[in-house]
Amino acid sequence: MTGDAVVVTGLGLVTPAGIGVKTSWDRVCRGVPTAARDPEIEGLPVDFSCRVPDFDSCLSAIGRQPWRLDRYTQFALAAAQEAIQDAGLEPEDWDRPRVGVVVGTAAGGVGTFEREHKRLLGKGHALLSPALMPMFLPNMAAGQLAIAFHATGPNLSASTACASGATAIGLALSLLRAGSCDIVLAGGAEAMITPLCTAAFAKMGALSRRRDDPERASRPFDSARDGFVMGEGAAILVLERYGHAQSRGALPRAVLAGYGASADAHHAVAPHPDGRGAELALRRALGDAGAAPEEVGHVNAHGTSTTLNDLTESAAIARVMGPAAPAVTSTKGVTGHTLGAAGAIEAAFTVLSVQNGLIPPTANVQSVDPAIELDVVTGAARPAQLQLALSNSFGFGGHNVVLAFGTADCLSGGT
Amino acid sequence: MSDIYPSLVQFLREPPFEVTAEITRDATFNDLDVDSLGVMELVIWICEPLGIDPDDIETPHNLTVQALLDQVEKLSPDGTK
Repeated sequence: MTGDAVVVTGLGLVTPAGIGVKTSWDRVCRGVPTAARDPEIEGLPVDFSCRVPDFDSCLSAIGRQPWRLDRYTQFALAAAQEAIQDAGLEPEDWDRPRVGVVVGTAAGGVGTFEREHKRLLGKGHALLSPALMPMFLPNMAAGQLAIAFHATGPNLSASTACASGATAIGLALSLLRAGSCDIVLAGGAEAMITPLCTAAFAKMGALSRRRDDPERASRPFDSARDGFVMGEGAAILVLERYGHAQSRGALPRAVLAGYGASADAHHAVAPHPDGRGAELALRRALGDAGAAPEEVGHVNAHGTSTTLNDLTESAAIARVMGPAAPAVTSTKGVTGHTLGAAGAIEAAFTVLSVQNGLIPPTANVQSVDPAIELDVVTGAARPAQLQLALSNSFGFGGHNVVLAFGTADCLSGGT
Repeated sequence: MSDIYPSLVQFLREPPFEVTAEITRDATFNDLDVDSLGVMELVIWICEPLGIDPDDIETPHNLTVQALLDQVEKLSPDGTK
């Protein structure tokens, strides 16, 4: 492993499982679901979701005038603040043009957009908020992070639906390998639990209808799964080349060893029935990491709890891994599906699994679907020494992204 | 002017504006660190309850608190001061 390896030196999380890495990780490892009835979507066919708890109480900590930021940008800022602190970095001191930002989101500030559209219809154009556009645009989380933390390097947003956060991390890896940056803040953010978006997902039959038992509605890989549960949140990872991290005495949490991407080129929302696109992304991530399937000890699956995704994804994993059969989990049983943030949030959980040697359970699984021939971790978190773990993310449009994270132990003395 | 001025000061002290600088009638919104979007937002907040069309208020770069109050007073249907 050389100084050019890309390492994760900081994590920040805002998830339905809690605000902050420790709180979120602890709840995910205990497998305690977060889905609950949601007054903001009352009266819709699906009236429950996975919300970030008590987020408004931290707004004052994310800088001046947080009210002029959409909720998804607020999440991104809070996560970035934690990640930067975790990495031991001081934005006032860093080499600004060498710091990049890449943030993924599926829908950007759609909550603001919906609110202002309602205002337009009800009160007319003259009373529209002039802040609508800068709050709504999907590139604004990346832009606001740059403003808040004085990062004047490359600044990008990624939109690949529910793979957005993972795509952002993959793009960041490319920037670092190309030498365009020393540090990249990369991740995803989403705040899409709005009446319109919830109704739209419900209309297409993507959401669980388990209204009588919302807490157990998100049940990836379970025989009785019937759809996903809307979630929200953000994760930001501080990524840097190992040589840069070493030069400032930072301790990597893990190595970002590989990135694989592909397109199904099949259907707008349905995955390819054989999981061909997912398989290609898995093989590419392994190839990029220079690893063999048997080196993979764990896969944090996309595992949405929809009938189709879980089936096609498990088939793809089984084909690629063969008899190696790594332990598979989906943390969406706890967090719900955080959409454009999911790829980043689950990447962070994968980093924590590699670092702590612990695989969280898939919550709410009572009976694994017999068609899913995987070693699904259920019940309790499973200890495991992991050399390499994968995080899968797939999005509407047929986007497939797989990230590979390796243990930081391989860095010691080897550079 | 005495009716609107205290409300305007209160608006400016609270979210989303959160002005911490001293607010005087002669101060420009630039002095108060309220950017152009913020000024437009403030105009909407003031105009809506008074039934004034916010698009009738001019918001040049050097707009002062007093100049804004003058425009609102002129356009107010009941001559609110």
